[in-house]
Amino acid sequence: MGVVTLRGYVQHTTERVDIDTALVANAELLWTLGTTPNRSAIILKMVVFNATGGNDILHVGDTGVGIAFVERFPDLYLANGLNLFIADVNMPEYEFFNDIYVYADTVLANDIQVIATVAEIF
Amino acid sequence: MDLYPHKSGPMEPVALIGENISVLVEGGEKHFEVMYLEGIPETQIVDAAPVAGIVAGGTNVAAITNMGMRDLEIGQWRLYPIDDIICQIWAPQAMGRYITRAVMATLDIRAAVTDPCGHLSELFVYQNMFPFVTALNPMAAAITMARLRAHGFRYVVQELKSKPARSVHVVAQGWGFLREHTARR
Repeated sequence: MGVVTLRGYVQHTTERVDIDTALVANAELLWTLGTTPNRSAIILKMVVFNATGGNDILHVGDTGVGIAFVERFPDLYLANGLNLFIADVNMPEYEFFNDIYVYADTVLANDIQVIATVAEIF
Repeated sequence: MDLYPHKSGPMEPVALIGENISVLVEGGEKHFEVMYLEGIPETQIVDAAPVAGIVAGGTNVAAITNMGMRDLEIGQWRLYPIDDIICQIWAPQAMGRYITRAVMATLDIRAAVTDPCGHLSELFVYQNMFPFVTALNPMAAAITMARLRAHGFRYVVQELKSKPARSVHVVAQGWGFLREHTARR
């Protein structure tokens, strides 16, 4: 499914989400879509910091945690102790019609911090 | 006629000094001659959120008292939200504006894209008959601000005893009584 870009949108920033437990069952809610009227969202910009003590993989998807989670982005590689900045042409384009969740493969110590700029389309 | 309400583009007055305005309010139409005219630069006109904010999916009704005018004054306003809210506008309080047979159109932040000059949401306020706004928070989180900004013109007028031969007709309060008004003309 493509992304519609020729629509007006309103831009919000998410709260900072801390992923302190690994695996899809512990996926963290990054963004809850607006309730009225029905809205969709695309992620415009995302900053991720990996403080887990090892390299990691971040998964971005929607619908829920555990078996409900549907991965929407390609896996994002997180180098140990570094930030990942993605925006504009580097950002995978997907229009989310459900709440956005993120999770990581492994969390050795500390956590992974995620913050994003989300455009809600309505 | 070059001047008329809801004219697209940068805002213009609907009547100049010495010209006439007929205002439709509850109870019928009133006729005025414009004595003085003044611009009202863009101003934050109301924060429709209470101090406690508006919960996710919640609404709040606020009187936009700052749009009220003095006696024998008419306000011409273009109104738009700057926060992520969906607004219904009421004038008077129990009569919706921007209505069709089946729907009451709403004003949201996307008006900046679809109607950059704001001409579709133009409102007229006769004396102190200010409008009300129902601000809905469409987000899944509470919001603390529901701000609307407005700009326009202020007309100082004198009432005419009879209907003038030529005037600009504007609506200051809902349309529910238009049929009765039309029948009377």
